[in-house]
Amino acid sequence: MYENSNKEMVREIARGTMKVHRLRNIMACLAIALTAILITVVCGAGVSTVKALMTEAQMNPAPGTNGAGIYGNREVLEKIEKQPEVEWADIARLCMKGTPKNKEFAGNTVKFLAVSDGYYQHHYVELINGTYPKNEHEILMSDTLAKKIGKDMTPGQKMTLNLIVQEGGERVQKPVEVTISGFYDNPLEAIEDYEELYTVEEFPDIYNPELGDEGTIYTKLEGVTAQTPSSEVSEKLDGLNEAVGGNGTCLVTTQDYTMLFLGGAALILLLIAYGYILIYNIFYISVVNDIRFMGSMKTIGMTGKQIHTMLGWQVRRLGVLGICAGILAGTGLNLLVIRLLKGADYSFSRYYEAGLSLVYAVLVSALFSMVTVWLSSRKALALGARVTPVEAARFRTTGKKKTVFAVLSFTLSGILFCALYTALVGYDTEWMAERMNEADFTVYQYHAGQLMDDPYEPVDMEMVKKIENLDFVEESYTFYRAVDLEQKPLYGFYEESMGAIKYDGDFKKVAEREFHSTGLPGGEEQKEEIKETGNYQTGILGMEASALEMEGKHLQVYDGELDTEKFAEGNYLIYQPYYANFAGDDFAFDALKAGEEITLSFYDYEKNTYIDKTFTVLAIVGTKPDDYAGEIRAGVQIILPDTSFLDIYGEQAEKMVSSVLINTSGKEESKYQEALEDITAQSLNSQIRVSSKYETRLSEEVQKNQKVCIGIFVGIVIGFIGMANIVNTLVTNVLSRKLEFAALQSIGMTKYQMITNIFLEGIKMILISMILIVPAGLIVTKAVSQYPLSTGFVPELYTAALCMVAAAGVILSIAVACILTRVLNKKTVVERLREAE
Amino acid sequence: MKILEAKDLVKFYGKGESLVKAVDHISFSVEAGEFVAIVGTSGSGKTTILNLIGGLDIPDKGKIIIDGQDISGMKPDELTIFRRRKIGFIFQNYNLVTVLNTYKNIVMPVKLDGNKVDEKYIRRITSMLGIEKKLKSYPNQLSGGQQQRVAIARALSAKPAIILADEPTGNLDSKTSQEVMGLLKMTSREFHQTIIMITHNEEIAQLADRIIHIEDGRIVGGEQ
Repeated sequence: MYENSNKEMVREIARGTMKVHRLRNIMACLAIALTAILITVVCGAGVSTVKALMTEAQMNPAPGTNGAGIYGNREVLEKIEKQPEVEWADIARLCMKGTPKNKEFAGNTVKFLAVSDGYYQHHYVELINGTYPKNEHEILMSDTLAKKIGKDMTPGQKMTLNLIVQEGGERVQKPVEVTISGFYDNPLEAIEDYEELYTVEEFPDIYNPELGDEGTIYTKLEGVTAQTPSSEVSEKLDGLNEAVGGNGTCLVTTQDYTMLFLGGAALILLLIAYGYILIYNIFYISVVNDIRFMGSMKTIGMTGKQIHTMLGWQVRRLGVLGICAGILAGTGLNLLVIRLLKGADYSFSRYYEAGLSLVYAVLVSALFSMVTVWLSSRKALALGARVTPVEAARFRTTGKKKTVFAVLSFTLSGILFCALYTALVGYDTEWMAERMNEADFTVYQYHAGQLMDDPYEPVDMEMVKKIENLDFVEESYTFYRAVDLEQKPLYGFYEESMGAIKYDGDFKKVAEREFHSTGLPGGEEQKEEIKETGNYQTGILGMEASALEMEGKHLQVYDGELDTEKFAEGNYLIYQPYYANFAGDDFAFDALKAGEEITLSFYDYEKNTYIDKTFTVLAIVGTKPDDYAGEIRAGVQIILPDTSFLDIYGEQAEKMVSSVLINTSGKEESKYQEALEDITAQSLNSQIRVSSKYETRLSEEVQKNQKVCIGIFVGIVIGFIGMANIVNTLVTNVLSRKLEFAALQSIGMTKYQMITNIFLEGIKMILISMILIVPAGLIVTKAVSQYPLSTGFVPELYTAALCMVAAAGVILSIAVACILTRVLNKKTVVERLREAE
Repeated sequence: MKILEAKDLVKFYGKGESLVKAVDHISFSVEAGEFVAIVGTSGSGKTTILNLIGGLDIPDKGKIIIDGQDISGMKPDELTIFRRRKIGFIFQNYNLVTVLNTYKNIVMPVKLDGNKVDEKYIRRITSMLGIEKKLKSYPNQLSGGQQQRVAIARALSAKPAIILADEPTGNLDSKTSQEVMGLLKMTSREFHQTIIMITHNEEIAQLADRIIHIEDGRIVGGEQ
């Protein structure tokens, strides 16, 4: 009937006792499944997020080399191709700087590139139909651009490109008729509002010869991939550049995902800890409940090892069931989560896809879930195996140590929950909107404040007037930044808007005092500029006096006063020391004082002359720390009233508009945003952008919601760990006092009194925890609620969080008391007393 | 032949002022096939003696030799295995495994030891105990007397050196008690089985071959 082995008997008992523990089995399966679900979802979403981020990082022009290249002409290309460490190289030359002025291209950055033949294959430019361009009359267009401009993809169509070319040193518009020889499958589709048109390498020589013969030679180095660290690629490129006589290098910086991986690993560890606590408690309580059964089995002759085997058999079966169910449900959830993330408002959201990430999630989850189940059941199994019959008969869970641990665990969980809740829910999106935006809407010249690889494109005054005349505009303020409109690129880049002042006289004295210990800002380049031209380059801002009050909210005044009336007179300037930006209260400056007179020689780039003007210093200011709203930014040292600015720069000033700030009267912000974006798109100047409090608010709300979801989730998981320890302590305490309760009931204790007794034990632990949580939590929460994690401590939210924690503790105590009483009273008093005997 | 020798056993509980000498220098022996009753009032130390003999507890002093083996120095697992093979237990509250049927409860010690069940022997003892028709029933389907018979059968199934019975009739009515005692006596004779029974009931004890009286941890009558 049975094989001659003691395993069968043990399995028989395991099977039999497992059937009896239905509630334990359900709880264990649920706990294991929940752990597996969480790990699966975190892994799935995590791997997808990393893949999305990595894909986004690779989505840049010249994806075949991840943007790595050397500046040079065909001669340099030929030298590069001969180098042993080079797999291949292709040249891409701009046919013009910026986007062709075609109305249909509005809202897009369109790069018109003349490329060598190998470029198409190496950078995934695959033909859908037609042919690659064969001469300078032909271009290749992407399928996405064709769709955007409403063209059907039939090769041979003619179109006119409105190019901006260099003629006699001037930028002139030149319409060029071309034929679309073919359409290609856009590998850069995922880059928003960005397109590339291609033609033959000779095109710029024919239509824009003054542009020069230099291009970017995209170079594929041996052994270099998209994951190779930027520093390594940069080193190799620099070496190659030197060897071939190139004019510099370019590459896309690889992202460092270390923090992301660490964060993901930390989250998985947290989930394993959560799973461990949950599963451990269930099995431990079960073993404590059956401790006398273990003892009697030992009396009859079951060894500790056999008891361990019996319990292990049960754990394995529950583990497999729970893990399979959890992974299945988790995979389903993953598909939903990935879909949600794909629709979220992150720049990399569109790169989310399921696929292999689900497989990784399943494998990782299975492994970690098995490890968690194994780890969490060990102690319980060891207890069951270790206990002797006599110990089992007298078994009590140890009191104080366990209680202290439970209290501390709940305290820690409570503190973390309160901190997370208060900081995240208290994140003030309106404060952030105010912090990032001075006015309701700002239309600004992006290049005025940023380095770009295109030359500066002035803002059209017609556009400014159009904006000012919009019916929803209540107030508008125009700002100007002095700029060299004929600036030459340095290493392929054009600097942000800088004016020039003669480094002489009053200014030199101020500069020498200001920079005596730090040296001139701009380092060697600034020194070279002074040596060559005698000019000091800096940010020179012109603004309406009426905007001063608004601007002043973002400034720290170190000396003098921001008097609007005086400023409007035109003879005053405001000075921002170079290092005063974000300097805060402790900034000391004595190189220039309010009330002092200073004569400055402003350089006119167009006329190559200086305009001298004497000003009285109205105030010495610096931008407030972490304030990004004002127009007086880092690098802007001289602030003039607009009248003086226009006086100095004359007609040129109309081409120096850096921003228009608008305050609106109505509430239809999305319509206003759309209207402004429409106007800027029609200008065909892709350097003009629109920002607004509305947009910032929306973006911050989305981020806040996501942070709150993740934060509250983590808070609840941590909170659960604390609660689980309280439950464990309470339950094992009561179960080991079954006889005591039976005896009390035999002499008259009612069920209600039993519930109260257990409840009071639980509430005592919660109360001690709350006494610790309130002060300690306040310190932690206040620290965590500061920027950048949050926007300030909100006492009401902290109080609410405390109430939630306290309520959770009370509900937990009541629930445990009621359930335990019910479970114990399933057997009669006599049965329980006899059990003890 | 002496199947059990207890030499100068001492067992304390507690410390300092609350120190209790549960067993105070007890020595006795039991011959093979003897039916011995250890009688004493509550707190006399009889249960402690049973625990010591059964390897459930370790004496603070003294030796216990069962079937020629000194169990006093054995490790817990060794004791468990020894107990499985050499000692059968009968408890007051039967202590049957509720998830196993009668047959499986009976053969459990044999199966736990990894040995083949002597079916003929099992049939004999179940028939003698009158539970041959209850082999597929579960403990909750049996009366108290029937459960105790199953317990006796389980104790006998491994053919132990000694059977230890702790108040075997404690939970039974008088008629059933008599029946069970009769069965114990019969199995002792039939299988030449050594039985040591703990009881506080003098009347029941009379059915034994020998009575050892215990009081305050000491034997006050009946040792060899």
